[in-house]
Amino acid sequence: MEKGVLIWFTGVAASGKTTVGRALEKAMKDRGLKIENLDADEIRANLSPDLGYTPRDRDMNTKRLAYMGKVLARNGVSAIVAAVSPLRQYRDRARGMVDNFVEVYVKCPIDVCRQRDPKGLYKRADRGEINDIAGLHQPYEEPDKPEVVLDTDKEDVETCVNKLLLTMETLGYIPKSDVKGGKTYSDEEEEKVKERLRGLGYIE
Amino acid sequence: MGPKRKVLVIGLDCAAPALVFDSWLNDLPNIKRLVQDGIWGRMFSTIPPITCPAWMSMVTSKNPGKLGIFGFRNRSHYSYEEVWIANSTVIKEPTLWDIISREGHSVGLIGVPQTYPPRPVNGFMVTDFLAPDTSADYTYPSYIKDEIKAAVGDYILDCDEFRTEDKDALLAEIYEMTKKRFDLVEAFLAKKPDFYMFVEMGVDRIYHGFWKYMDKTHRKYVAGNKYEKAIKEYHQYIDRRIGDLLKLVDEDTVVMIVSDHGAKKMEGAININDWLIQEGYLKLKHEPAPGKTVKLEKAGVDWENTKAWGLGGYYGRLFINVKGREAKGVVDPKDYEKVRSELVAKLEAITDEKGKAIGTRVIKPEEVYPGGKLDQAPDLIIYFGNLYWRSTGNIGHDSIHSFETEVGPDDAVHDEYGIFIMWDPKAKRGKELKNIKIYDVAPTILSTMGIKVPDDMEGKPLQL
Repeated sequence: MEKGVLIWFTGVAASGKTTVGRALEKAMKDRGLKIENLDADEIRANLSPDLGYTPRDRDMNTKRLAYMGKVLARNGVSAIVAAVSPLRQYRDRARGMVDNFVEVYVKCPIDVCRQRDPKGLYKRADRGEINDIAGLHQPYEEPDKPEVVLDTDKEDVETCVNKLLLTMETLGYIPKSDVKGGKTYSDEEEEKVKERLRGLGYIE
Repeated sequence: MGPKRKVLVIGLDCAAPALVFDSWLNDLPNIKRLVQDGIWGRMFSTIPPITCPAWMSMVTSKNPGKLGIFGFRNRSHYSYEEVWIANSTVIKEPTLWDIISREGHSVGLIGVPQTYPPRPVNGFMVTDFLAPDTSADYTYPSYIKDEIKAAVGDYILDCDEFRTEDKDALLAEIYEMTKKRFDLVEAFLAKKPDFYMFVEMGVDRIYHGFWKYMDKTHRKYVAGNKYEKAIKEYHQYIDRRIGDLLKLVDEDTVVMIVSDHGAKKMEGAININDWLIQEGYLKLKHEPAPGKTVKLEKAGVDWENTKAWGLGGYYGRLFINVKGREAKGVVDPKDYEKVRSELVAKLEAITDEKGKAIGTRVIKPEEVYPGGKLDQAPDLIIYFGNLYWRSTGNIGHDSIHSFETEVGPDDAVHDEYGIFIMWDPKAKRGKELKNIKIYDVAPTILSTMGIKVPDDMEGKPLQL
């Protein structure tokens, strides 16, 4: 049985972890790959309602997520974890628990995250209601050597997902897709390339 | 931890051993130094010796049959007309940069054919002329497009006006393209890739565009023409740029200069489909209009009465219309081998326009592609006149021989041997190697870097 991959998204709140994670989940399912999305908010609600956002609670939460990822991966199911996981030690611990680990740094300037703010966290912080946001009140340690960096302020979701899939192909964690060459071009682009190849004498 | 050694690969598409090693080595001081102090030799290319599949065979150490690609254009599963372009998405075997990335070493690629669309690597990738243009995402990561712009201005993927009679303009374009490529290679040295590979296409382009001006045996050669030295001077320019580049490379880096295949003069073209019509293998529903040639797909082929058809290019591809395999197949599978052998004999007997033998070689794919995916391969691979003659697919020529191509002037064809040079600044060797194969390049690079060579690679590491 092929081993699953633990795909660990890290980044500050509203950087795009959940959005890209969901799109990746769909893309992997479309390819017939076994994948479970361990969305941190959902897991917190169901398995860890006891945990808050103190460093100690974050430590325990990421430990639980990594353990679930490990159990799934050894049974051939890949897992997506989307969690702020602000400290390197949380991520490195997860990395050490599986063979196939992909650390995804979801990188987005805090000002852009503030504008997005889908859960209203930054607004609440501005009003002084919360003071435990990583990257704002608590430290956020950028990954040293992530397998993938997603610049979500510049790259759209499709680009991000493509990057992730191709990286996992490069790493040999998932099979290369069976797309034939032509489909990567629009009709207009394909004609342009064919015209060039004709001009260069490669095809007629 | 870094690799055992770093490697820089300078790819010169089409660079011919007869020119680089035999004719001009004394005028190429930097390349000469590498030859004198390194290991070197003529390197046998893929079958066929064409940019695609040769570079990908080089970086995967897998034969074209295993890769399932036989040219830039490939036939979809036994269909008559549907073709697809072989870009990076069709390469399923791990490339050098996949393997080196996985080992945690960094890679940098510039202009390696068939790398578009770009794939993630542990480093960067500037792709090739399969990108529609530089407005497409032709790099990984995508944002290095801005760095390219800052370093060299508008980057040139390839010559846009290749088939032109305006040779001054073509020459200027080739030089500009090459200058920008080397400028970019120098600029991106700052990224410190452990494995750095780039391919300059200008060599191939100048051969095809200018061979007849240089080669006194070419049927179109005119003595005293103004481009007589164009190819040689361009080689000297490349040599200077290599010299400049090597000054910037540290002592830990092993340097390789390779070409995917060589080149030689073009004698002419054999119009393969016109020949098949003449021999009764290919039937049209109606006679083609006189004085004009048409593409096969526009010629109204009577498939129910056609036994074989062909594709043009620097080599010929022949397909047999087999019952039960092709949609309108007519050749009974039990007659397949008979028809094929009959075609081999007839193809090998084709002469030049004066009735002189040309030495055509015909190859059966299963004999040269061990472990291959042959469902997309041609039924026969044809080297007309041992590649001195190209193949033309259009229908309606006056004769089976042509001396002008449909798309404009081209004076060179491909040769089966390219160049191989490997140089270690820390070790003097000066040894010519025999029997180098294109499949040896990837294992040699991996073993130089201290990376285990995968068992299924078809070549062997060459020792410095």
